[in-house]
Amino acid sequence: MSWSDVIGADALIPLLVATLRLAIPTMLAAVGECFCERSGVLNLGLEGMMLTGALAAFVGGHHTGSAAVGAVSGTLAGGLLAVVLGCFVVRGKVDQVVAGIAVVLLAQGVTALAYLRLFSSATTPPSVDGSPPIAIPLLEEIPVLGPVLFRQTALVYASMAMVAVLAWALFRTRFGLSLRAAGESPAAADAAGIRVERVRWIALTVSGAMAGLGGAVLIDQLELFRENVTAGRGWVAIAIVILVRWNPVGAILGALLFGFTDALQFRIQSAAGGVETAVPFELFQALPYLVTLLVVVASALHFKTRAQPRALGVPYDR
Amino acid sequence: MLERYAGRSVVALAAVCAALVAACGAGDDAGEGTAPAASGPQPVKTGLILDAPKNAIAWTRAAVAAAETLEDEGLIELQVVDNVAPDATGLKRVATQMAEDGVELIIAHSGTWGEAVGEVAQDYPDANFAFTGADPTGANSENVAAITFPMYQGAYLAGVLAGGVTETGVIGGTAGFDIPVCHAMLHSFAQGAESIRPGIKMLPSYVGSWTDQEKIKEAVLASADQQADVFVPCGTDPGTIAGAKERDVSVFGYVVDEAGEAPRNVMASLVWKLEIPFRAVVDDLRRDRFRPGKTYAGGVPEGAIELVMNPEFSRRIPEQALSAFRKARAAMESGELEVPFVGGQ
Amino acid sequence: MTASSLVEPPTVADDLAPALESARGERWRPLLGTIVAVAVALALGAGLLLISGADPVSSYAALLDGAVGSRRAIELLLVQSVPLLIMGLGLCAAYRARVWNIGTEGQFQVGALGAGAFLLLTPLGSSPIAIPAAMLVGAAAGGILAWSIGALRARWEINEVVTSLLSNYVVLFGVAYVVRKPLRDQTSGASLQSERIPDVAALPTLPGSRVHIGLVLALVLVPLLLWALTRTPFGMRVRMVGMNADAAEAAGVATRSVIARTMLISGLLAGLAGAIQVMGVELRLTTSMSTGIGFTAIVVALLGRLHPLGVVFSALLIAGLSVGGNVMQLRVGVPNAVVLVIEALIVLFVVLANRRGLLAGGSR
Repeated sequence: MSWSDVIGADALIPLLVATLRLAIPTMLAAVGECFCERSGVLNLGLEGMMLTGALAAFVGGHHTGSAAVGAVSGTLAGGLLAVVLGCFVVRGKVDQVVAGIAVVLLAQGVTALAYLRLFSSATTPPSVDGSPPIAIPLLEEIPVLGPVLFRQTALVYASMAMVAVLAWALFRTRFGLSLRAAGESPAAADAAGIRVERVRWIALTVSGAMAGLGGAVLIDQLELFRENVTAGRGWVAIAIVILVRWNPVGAILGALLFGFTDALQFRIQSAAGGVETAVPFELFQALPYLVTLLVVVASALHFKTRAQPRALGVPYDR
Repeated sequence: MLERYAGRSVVALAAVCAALVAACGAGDDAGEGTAPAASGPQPVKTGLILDAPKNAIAWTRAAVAAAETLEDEGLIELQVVDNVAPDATGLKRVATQMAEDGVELIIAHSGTWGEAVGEVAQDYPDANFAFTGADPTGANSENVAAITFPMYQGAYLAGVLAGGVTETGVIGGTAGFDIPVCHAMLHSFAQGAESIRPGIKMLPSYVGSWTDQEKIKEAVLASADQQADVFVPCGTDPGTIAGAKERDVSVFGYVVDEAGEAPRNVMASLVWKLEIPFRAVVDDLRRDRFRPGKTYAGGVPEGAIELVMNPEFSRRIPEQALSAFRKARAAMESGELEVPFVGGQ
Repeated sequence: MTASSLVEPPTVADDLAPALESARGERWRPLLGTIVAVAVALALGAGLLLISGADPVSSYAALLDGAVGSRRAIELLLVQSVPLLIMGLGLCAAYRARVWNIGTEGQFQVGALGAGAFLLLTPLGSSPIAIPAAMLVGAAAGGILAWSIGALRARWEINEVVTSLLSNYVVLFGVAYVVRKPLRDQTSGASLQSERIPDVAALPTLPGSRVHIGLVLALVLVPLLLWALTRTPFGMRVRMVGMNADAAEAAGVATRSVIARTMLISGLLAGLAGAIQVMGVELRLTTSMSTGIGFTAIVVALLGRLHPLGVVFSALLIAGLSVGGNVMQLRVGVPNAVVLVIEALIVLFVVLANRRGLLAGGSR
């Protein structure tokens, strides 16, 4: 096989474009999850929120023909499901692991029912129109980065902005400070006048909305919905958060790494042209997960210090 | 016991349920059916078991459409159970219940269920069973019919068209995993293309998932980046068509006519007319010729696999490719051309 | 102290003793709460059915009938619950120590793979000791995988949620490779599968039934785990680590060893469940051997409130819902995704009813 088809000069830009495309939905969910876990709430319902967001985006986009309406409904639906989870974990103070997993089940059941109900009579599977790419003058001229970053859809620009805003808010605003305090030492935060429960509500809802937006971006890329269309991206996002030690900037890079390995392995498979390689192609399929696993181990060995918010997963009762 | 927050959570959850309920109405009308139109023998009570949601993928839509055709003809009275777990226990419990309920013909729509069907069939010797996607060489028991799925025959014909349409001389194919039926399908797709354009290059992609449409789409984009411009899917049609649409390259529909999903890009669809083998099974049942269980071929020679052209695309197919296609199809129908099944090893 | 964290909650050692004390006083409260919660969830499910145009009474009747309505249905229900029960028991050990093994799916598959490879490739596979030997191999395979994950956590604090989660995917592709290449059944032209395991290795069934003896083994494991987790010093240490690892460490508990060992137990049992599934149900290795059973087992363990007896009930309940759900669709025409929603509601309300803590103990 020819490696120049995979990583040669002509292949580089398509490879990076694919990396970004595969990374964005997971990235949105992962950055949102960072935000949420930093406040002390473990949102294990992320996969369900992405899926619900995907369905809502599809329904919204299908009925109005507008990708923007789709994105907004996806974001709202993800946030709404986070509010449902919040009733249990923030207000009800039940176990966050159990409630999160239950919310994923709930979302899988409900989206399947709703899709069946709404579209079962259609003879041709319904679709939506994806939003068109918009090139940004001048910036798109930058070698390599220009075509990769600045010939994207409005939705992707909005996503990148959201990710940047959240990362900035967490470290550079008063609210971010309160949020981190709620996750590290809720009792001390409370004593300092921070309303821990309110902060956690906001963080959880934001993470649901981000996951919903991730689902919406996925739908915008695919232009279709199928049962379980998110296929585990929410779980991968949770893994990335732990991998990057609860750092939103790290989460961006983690999602890109995952997307890059996936994009790369498809290109290696194609370049092999069906000729049985010495390495079985199942290894390529497993590559994104294997690489993430190795990075998790390597980074833990490298950093040695604990990064996990101290109150993660612990409900706060005044 | 449920304390104060419980009350609010119930309300919250109930509100969500109520909101969803509108969307979850009585959406299942397949079971009700219509009154049998034909006079004569009673319609055969038939149960169809699917391993995925019935409107989720072409594989299940094809079976439901075929069974509903037979129901409209008054041949059968249909019950459908979809989204059954694809392991042996999943099939067993549904098939057992159907047999207990007195269903006369139980059709399991997945090749991986063949063995489990055989086991249930032993428990219910009076019921009749069939399963699709069968291995043509597999043995059948007395009350089990095997319906084969020789899509590789259709894929050869699709390959002939692909060889005529490709500008780059590179074609591609996708499948969830490298299972024999898909391996054979992608192999004969390449063979068909080779027959009209020697030296063609085939790029198969095995995605590692049947359901992750985004990954399937990426597999198409990756091959398109390496010049592939005609694609065929095996069980991976939604993502493959989405990828072809994005790159404006050609693609074949899978199992059902999928031209409507991308009229500019779907050249033709490899339609599996399951009503043909289904009808043969039901006819035999009604005439008491079903037993001993046998293999019902559902391929190109039987007319059960057919390339349905997309009229919006056909004028872009060169005449030379069309005539080569017609010649190959005639040869296949007459038995002159036999495409080998190459399932990998 | 209420729920769980991924590692240790910041509480002080003094919380431990009264917490353990109060657990004994209120044995029956959780049970009552659970019953009420299931009832509330079913009532909400009935509402969902009602407004969606199905008659809830006949829907639930069909569900019940499908799960336990005939001898054959009960047999299938029991067979279905065996792997859930075995894996759920193992997870009790890990989760009680707050070791979040999300990798049971992979450990189940690795156990199935180990047992299958052993039976197909070694002469012992067709010998009279094939069954116990294959169970050992399967359990060992699952155990080694889980133990490695536990050791990474114990030694270097590498978060087990992420490692165990990712290991599922890696194992999935490993199984896909093994059945495609080295263990492929060359005679099958339709699906990707290994050859059938030797007949001597197929699990015998209980006299007069279709239920394989894996059920007996599962039921024997229940009192064993119950004893180990509630009546032994090890069980006490597991609970101490789960409640507060720092405090436990300070009290002289070797937390690292507890973490690795609970992970090992959950992996051993998941691997055993995989071996039993291969020998009792599938009789060969396929890519569709597990359809997320390992994930369902997590729900089973949590719903059973990490108590071995609770897990018996939750395994039967979850198996019954999935068996009955298909029948509900068959008879009443309700899409069986309704069952997923009902399952989720049951889990949510059960935890809500028992919100004083998953770990059968603390209150603040």
